[in-house]
Amino acid sequence: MSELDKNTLPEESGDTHETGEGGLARRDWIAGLEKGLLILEAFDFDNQRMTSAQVAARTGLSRTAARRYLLTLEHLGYLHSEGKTFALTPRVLKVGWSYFDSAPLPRILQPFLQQITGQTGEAVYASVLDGWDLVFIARNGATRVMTTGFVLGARVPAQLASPGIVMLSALPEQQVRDWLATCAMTPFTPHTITNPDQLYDLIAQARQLGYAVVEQQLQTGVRGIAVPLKNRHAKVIGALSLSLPMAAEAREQTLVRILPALQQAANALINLV
Amino acid sequence: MIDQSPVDLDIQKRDLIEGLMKGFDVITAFDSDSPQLSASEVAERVGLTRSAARRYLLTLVHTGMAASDGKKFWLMPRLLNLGQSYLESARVPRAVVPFLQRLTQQLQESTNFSLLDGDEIVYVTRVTAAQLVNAGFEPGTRLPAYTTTAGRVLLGMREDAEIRAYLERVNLIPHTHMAVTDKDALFQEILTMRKQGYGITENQFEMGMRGIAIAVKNRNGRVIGALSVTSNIAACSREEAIARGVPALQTTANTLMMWV
Repeated sequence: MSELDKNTLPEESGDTHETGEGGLARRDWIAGLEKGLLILEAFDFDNQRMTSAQVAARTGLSRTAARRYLLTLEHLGYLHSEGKTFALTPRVLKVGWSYFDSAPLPRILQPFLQQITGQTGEAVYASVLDGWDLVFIARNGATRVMTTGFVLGARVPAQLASPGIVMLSALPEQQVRDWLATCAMTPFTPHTITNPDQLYDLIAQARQLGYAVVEQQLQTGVRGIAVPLKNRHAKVIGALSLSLPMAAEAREQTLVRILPALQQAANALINLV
Repeated sequence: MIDQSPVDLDIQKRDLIEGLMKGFDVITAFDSDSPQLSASEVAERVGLTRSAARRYLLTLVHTGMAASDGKKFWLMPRLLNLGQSYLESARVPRAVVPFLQRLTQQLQESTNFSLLDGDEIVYVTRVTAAQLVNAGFEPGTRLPAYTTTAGRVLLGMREDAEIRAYLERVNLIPHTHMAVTDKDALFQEILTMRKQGYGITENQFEMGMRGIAIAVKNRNGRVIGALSVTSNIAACSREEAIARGVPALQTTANTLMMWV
């Protein structure tokens, strides 16, 4: 959670700022809510259980303030404690799931994803951009190798997957170039592109073609194909994508087999989203 | 609204952060019937003044968890990050994945791991079989415990009095025309599941679907959740499904007991 490292929050007591971060008027800011959400996000694979001191260190809160937040979250059932450490409970999923409970887009997409699986026999995903991450918001079908795939809500750095590349290709060039110049590009495979110019070429190519093919950027031996999902105002609001093992098929063959199904669904969705 | 656990006496009321408690109510006020809400609508649902509700909503917009056109507010995918932090940090949902994979391979059906959160069943892990339309439940899905097989099996792990109290307070909504709506009948069904060590239901949540579930305990005998398999009723008879599914589920539960 690199965002926490950057955002050191003011402490509850010493909180005399006129505005919150990002220009939200101070009087409009519910500090308790923002900090509480940050604490929940601070738990991850590397920090599965934390003491109030560890939470304080990760969020920039004082130890006393952190403890109050942790006790409140425990009281609400979002955390459970064992001795001095706290861990998340499955109730946290409920807050996250409110997005799926309310947002119409995942529900609208589902029958189209089922249709694509029917036509191609492959697992298909829909995703949106959140900042510079892509987030999977709908999926259907099973992969041949029977992995769990990406669960809904999973996020991946946008530049590493085909849906991310098509969505980046719809953003203003300078904005993307500026970001590429500053972002840390971790090589996930020996083939991961870490050169900003080379990466921008891939994005520009996707813009020209209207689809993206991305190979072995995140996982070795995996090829992704994605098309943008546009609304009737031609605004790109998401992407439809498939991941396939490269060994099974040549690139051209995959494109001929897969692309029409993806494009057909994206076209049909234009008037619905 | 969310809280069902008794108040911990160790926590002084002045130590609770009011803003955080109301904030969760504001988030969960959005649902499929009202994906977009104005500040007044949120105020009415949550029990806040309009200006207080507006402040909560603006804070959510500020954190990227909601968006607004100036009048209406709606939730954003950023919110999913919270659910991810549970799935990433909790050990059990990840630890059961290889076991579910083996189970799915064996049965060629979609399998789930789930647990109870208050009166609701929460699915936290799923492995799908190769099917055109995925059966089972996406991780994160939350349903009333009475409606699914795993939910009923896990209710059966509670004391009789607790089950009765649950049935007393819950409103049994028939998700299908064949769903059990009689509370005594459901109580007996739950006891039968406990006695036979597994549960099987048909046509209770979705027509044409069958679920078989079994409770998983850890080595201290504490119930940690349920394993379940979802399949099409048309694929085989109920007896066949039991003969094939139950031993596989039991073997997996026994192995999990030693590992989790």
